[in-house]
Amino acid sequence: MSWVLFKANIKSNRFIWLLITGIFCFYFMTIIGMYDPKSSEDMKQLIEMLPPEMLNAMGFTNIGSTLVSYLSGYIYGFLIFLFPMIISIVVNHRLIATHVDKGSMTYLLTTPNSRFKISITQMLFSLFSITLMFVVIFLFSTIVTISLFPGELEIGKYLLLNLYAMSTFYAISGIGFFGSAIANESKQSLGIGVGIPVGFMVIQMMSGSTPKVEWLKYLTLYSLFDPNAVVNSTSFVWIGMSILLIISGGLYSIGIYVFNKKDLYI
Amino acid sequence: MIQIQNMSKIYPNNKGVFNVNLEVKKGEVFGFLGPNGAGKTTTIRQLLGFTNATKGTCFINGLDTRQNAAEIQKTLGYLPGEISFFDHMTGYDFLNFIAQMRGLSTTTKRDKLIEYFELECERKIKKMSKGMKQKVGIVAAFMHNPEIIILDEPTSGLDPLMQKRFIQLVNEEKKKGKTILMSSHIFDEIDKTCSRAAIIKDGKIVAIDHIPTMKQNLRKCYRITVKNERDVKKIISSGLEIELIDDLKIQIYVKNQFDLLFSVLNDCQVTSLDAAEQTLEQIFIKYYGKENN
Repeated sequence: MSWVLFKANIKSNRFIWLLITGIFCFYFMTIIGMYDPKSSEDMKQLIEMLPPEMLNAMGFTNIGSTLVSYLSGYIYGFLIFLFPMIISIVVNHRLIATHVDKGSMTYLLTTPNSRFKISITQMLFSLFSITLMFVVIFLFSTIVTISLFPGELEIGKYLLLNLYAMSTFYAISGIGFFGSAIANESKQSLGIGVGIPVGFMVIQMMSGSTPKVEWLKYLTLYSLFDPNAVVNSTSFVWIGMSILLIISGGLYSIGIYVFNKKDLYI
Repeated sequence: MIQIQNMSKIYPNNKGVFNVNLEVKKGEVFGFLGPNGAGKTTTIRQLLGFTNATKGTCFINGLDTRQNAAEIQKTLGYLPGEISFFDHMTGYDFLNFIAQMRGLSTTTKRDKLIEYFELECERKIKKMSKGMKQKVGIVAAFMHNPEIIILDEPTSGLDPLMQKRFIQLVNEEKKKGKTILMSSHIFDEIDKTCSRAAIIKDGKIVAIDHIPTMKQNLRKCYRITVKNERDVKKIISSGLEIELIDDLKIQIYVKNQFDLLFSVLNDCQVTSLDAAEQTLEQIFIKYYGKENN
């Protein structure tokens, strides 16, 4: 791995990363501020005023009584997909496809660094950006929650919820990286990196909106992420997480393999 | 130093380069001439290990260019034909970045080159003119003092003064024993620096020769305007190879028959005479065959 390139990646991606992570933290504050164990009945009444189809589509289904189930319902049901997805799309596209499309890959490869080394560096950065985001989100949200509601957060479960969500994002990010690595032009990379995750999200929302099309959920990766499984401590957490990690490993590996073999018209 | 053996790279549209054989010896400055789209860049891409050959192999320093690209890069300098950098960087940022990627610690040669080409390195690359970007590319190709240098249309975008300086730089590197492969579509540029050259057309090498031998086959082209129709007829009947441009304007191609040219023109009233700009096809008619043929 090339540390010089890694540092350059940090420099060119830090703005979008800080922005999205910042927005997420801000959003978290708003949501957690609305949590009130005593008045959760009021909250439920408020929620019940909204059309149930919309709530299902947004994943606001299981608003349980504990703090973790509250968070898993409001944040880890839907919004957790949105914010890291933006980072994943932008970062992965920039890591390889932009360099190939613009031609700056020429300069990376006319230094004594092999394609393999360059692509491994970019993969590590891709995983690093997602991991760091989840670390920050987890630490920030844990500290905020503990100081607002001492003793109410089951930290073990909450950590598992975050690890599970992060595994999902390793897989989503794997799609973006794969697209970025195999593309010769930006549009191919974006087609795969944006099209597939956004498509998954749309399918996810549709499958939740009415029971008639519930079968659609088998078409998206997001179905492997079931926050309720964490809340209820079922073994699906481990099955889902393992499959997601295997998918992620496969996508990153194939991406690197193709990038090493293909013709680069740069 | 650089060997291309029976190399073909054929694109899906059946264009590309076919059966290229070429050798650049150690210490030689070798020209690679061809019009745009003839296959110069395709060949060079192969030398840098960017693409997989359909057939054949390329070696630099005895190493396969596709398999050992990273190893070869240690002693190679490359100037791409189309330069694109990391836009958000300044010239200095970029050169430092490349130097670090190379593990290069000295900046002596870099600083000398920056001064030599009067490069304004503090500016963001995005804001630089084409010529300025080209200079950044040249500095990046030479700054680590490489043994082998591959230059793809190196003077494009440079003003005449800088072109001259660039040619001086190449000649200095030649004195130091560097091996240089330089592509161009301008014969003069190759003439001033190279000892041998290859000409490529439609993906095929049509000639590899020493420059003086090539020059013997070179045609010159003059654009002449005469006073009246009678003069035009005289020139047409002289046996010189000509092309009528309009009523009184004629383009004359000359290889060795300068005596004939002068004696014919002596009889005419010439109102203007220009050496016309020529395309490579026109210069190397011998290698290319007649145009529109």
